[in-house]
Amino acid sequence: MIKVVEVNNICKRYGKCNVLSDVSFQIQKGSICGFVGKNGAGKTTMLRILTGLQKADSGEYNTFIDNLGAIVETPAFYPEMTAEENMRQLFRIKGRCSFDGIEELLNTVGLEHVKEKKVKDFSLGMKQKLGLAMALEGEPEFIILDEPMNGLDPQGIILLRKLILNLNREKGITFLISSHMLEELTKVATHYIFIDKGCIIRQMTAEELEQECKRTLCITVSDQAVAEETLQKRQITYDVMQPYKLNIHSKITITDLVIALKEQGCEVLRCYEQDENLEEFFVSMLEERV
Amino acid sequence: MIQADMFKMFRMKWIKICTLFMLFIASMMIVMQNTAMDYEVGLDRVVFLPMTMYGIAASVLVSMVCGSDYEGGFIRNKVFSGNRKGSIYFSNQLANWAGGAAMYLVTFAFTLTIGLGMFERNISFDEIGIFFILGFLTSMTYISIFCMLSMLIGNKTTAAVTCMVFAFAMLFVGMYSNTFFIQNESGSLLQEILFDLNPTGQIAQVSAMECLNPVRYVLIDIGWITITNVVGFCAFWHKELK
Repeated sequence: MIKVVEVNNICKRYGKCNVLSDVSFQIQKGSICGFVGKNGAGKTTMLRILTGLQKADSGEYNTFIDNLGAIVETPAFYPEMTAEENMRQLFRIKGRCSFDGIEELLNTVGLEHVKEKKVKDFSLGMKQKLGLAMALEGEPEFIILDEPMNGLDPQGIILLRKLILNLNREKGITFLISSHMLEELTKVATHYIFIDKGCIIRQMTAEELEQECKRTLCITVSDQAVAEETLQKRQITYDVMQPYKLNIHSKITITDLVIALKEQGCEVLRCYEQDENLEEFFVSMLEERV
Repeated sequence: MIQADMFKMFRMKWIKICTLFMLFIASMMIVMQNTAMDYEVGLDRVVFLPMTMYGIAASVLVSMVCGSDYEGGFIRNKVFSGNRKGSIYFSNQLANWAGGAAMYLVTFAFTLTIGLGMFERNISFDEIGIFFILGFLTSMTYISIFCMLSMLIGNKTTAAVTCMVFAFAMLFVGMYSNTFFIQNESGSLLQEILFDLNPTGQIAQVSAMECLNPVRYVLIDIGWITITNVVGFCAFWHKELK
């Protein structure tokens, strides 16, 4: 597998606080990697090091690409200039001979109708889109996005998701996306990196995550007390979600569960399987770590 | 990137505002010299007089233009594009020098043009040329100092306040020193060096067209420009960009 980025034992301190401790990971070419962690876990600091905004105290990283695009923390622009002028400035900085392609980039993110408007008058979502257009300039091989969905409306989120998937599929662009919107992340990510308190907890593919996410049996019963007694006797872990509604976490087949409860005079009125989502998986991973 | 920074310098409103400020100051000073004095004022007392306020204008210009990179975070795009920090710093410096030079030239041209028509021409163009060069060097010194401060502070508002306070402090110290030398005609070597070290002290000499020691003047300016660029470059290299 071809690597795009390789990070080895990166450490970073702010005063006495260890923000990153021996962080190591790899990102494969063509992947969409979700970078998941709580506030203050060290995600943004790691992204700032990868983009050259900050230096690590120790460790190293290697990028095997020529062209990088990024939005880190907030999109970057000149507020007093229009969207088009900002794009032209970017083209100048990158040494482009002409401004061909600006129109197309603004069309891609849906800002063609406001290209003459000053960026200081943009909404947060529009600024985010302009930042994305800037990150896409030059057809980068690797794009880093730090909370790209912040401020986007539902349509904007769908547009961004489709854009990421299209660019990844058609042009093979690799993405590293840090986001708190974990459900949205599961719709695009092919790989995940989990970070907590400056340490990498896990790195896994989307397939591995799907296998590890626990399946929950959600049942509605006719007699809650009997059901709870039966489950406790069999040492089956469960949660009471609402009166008569329980979530069973232990591994047991539906048939065995229904028979066990029926024997005690409790009917199962409704039963279905529910997968643990990314959010629940992440929270349970953090709890295990504690 | 130099092209981008040059475009930014001359596209932003601050170069126009600061140049208009200098032209306003020049106009006021010309009017005052023409009407308020009991004696006939020569061109030598007028042609470089507006430059005493150049430091104030330069502090606003440089802090606002450099600060714009930080205000919206565009400086991050310069890093993402693969530009080294040294290139970013010097590109900004060059653009600021260009803007500062333009402001100096426009003000000088305006004052000389008007002054030739309104005041007695009691100096040769050679002398004007020499003091023009000295004044130009001092203007580049101002720009270098404010560029270093602005690039390292990294916040538009804080940079503007700091540069303006610095400019006013230099102005007051320069005025005090100038008054001292006018009253005492000469001072100790240390006093003269300190007067030359202050860019506003230098501008006071240029505006009066009386330079204490031209060689020392030039060497001090070269020293200021070199030191501020070296310090600014090294500090910016290690600076973490927010």
